[in-house]
Amino acid sequence: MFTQILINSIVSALLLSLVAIGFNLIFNATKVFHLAHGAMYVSAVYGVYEFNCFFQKVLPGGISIAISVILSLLLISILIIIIEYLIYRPLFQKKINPAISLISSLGVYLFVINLITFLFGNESISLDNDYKIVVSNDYFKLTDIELMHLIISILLITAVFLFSRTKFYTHIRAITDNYSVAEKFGINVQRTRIIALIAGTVLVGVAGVMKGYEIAIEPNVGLTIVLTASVAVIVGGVNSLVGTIIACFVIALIENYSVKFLSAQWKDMLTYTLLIAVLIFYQQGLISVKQRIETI
Amino acid sequence: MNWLHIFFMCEIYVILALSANLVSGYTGLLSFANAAFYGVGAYVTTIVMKNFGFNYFSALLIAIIFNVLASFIITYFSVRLKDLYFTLATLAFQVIVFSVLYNWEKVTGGSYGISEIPGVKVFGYQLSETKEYVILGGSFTLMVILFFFFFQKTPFVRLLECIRDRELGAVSLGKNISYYKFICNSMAAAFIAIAGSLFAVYNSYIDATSFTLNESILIVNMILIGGTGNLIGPIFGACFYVMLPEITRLIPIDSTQGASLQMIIYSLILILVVRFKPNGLFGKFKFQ
Repeated sequence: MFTQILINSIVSALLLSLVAIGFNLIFNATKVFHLAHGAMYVSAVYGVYEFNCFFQKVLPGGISIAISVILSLLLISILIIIIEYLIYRPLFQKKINPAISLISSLGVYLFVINLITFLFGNESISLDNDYKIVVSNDYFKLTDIELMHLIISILLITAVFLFSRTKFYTHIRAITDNYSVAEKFGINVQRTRIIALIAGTVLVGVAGVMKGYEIAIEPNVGLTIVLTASVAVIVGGVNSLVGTIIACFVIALIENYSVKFLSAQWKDMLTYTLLIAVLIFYQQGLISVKQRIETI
Repeated sequence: MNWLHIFFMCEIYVILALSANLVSGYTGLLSFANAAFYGVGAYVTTIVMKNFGFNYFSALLIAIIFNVLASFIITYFSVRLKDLYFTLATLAFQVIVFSVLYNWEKVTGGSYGISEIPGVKVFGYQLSETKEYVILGGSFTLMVILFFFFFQKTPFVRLLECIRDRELGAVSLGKNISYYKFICNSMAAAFIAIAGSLFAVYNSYIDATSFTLNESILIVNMILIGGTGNLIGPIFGACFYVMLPEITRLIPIDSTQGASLQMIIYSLILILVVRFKPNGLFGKFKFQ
């Protein structure tokens, strides 16, 4: 039982890490508290579902799903570029307060989610319900879907760490620190913002689609997911990708083990208590990059 | 169409929006915890009236005291945390309070809520019709509006505006910022308790789903659309938000689609207001 919960926590922590890393990249590059991230998560699932309904009549199963996933990721990437051009960039150029950019992002979230409910109804959808157990021993069981989650998320997280060695990530760090100085050193701020937005959105899209294969998704779940991810980002330290991943593991372990000792209803409360504790006692996050005092 | 019901909801939301305006508009602390105080006010009134047999006005007094005590937490956040982090902390507070209201079954009835809340007796006269509740709510709302009308001309509010515009300036004038934030937060919490208690006795049934994060978001939307830092903005925003469902009801679609259509209109207005008119329709202050 103990090891089973541990395995489940690891799988859910890795899925949460994908969302949280995406949030972290976007938050660092654009300074927008990107709540619309949750809308992207839900849109990806609905995109795959609707495209698959359409393609499965003409194409065989596997190819149809692959095409749907690619089209869906493309769709949310286009969506985020439209949002950037219409809303985030003009607000950025006005040098608006972060709290007000949170509100605008909330507006985008509500718009997209309610557009989805308006078009497709608010029943929960599931991409694929049947699973089979592939690993089974005395300590734990692992279904094929969980195995897929493990492999894909570890691959993507490795890809993100490779990405963090490239010059684009250095540009993101530079913009986080001080975008006007970065601009004067010849960094293309707008292009870097778009790269970060697309990278983050693709990560969250993949996480959403994978979650859609595990449980049924309903539109309003987006806000919970993005808030949990943002808790992970704040707890782990805004500047640090490793910190974000560690925080995701901490949150997933707390949530999964609390179900065993308390009842499942209290897990939201524990996550947000962690957030408040971190905000009050460790404002720079549990793990933080050393930086000059005046930039904090 | 039940106009009296709509009018009563307008009154409640006007009180809520004006209190939120005191914290967010005058002092510049964007708080997402308003629905938490709304819920605590409603539940405390209900429990005191139902389990201990108090009458409405003493229950209201206890709810106000309880809410003021609860607002110490928000004051603590507002002293310790800045901008975005304050907003996040209030958001977390809201989720925690909702979770307690929803899951603490012994006291709050959990997801079943509490029903059969006794009505209001004014000097031995039992209120029963909607009309009478509208008058009760109207008198409270009028008191709140009049209070804010006179209050906004006092030096106290000018100091709150000073904290909003330049906190360091207020500190350098030797003002005790924590004290002013404390007064402002407790006052808002006290007014929100009035709204919560009115809601509880009017509906005679409450459950936690009326006090979710979405409700807080709605209240913030009201003051952002109307504009912050004055009286007319929040009042307009509150009335607009309560009226809009009645207008969308005229469009012939089913109810779930109607609900999402409303939210689409709300969010579209919100995005447009933030993008093109950051100080709202009537506001004099923009969040910058």
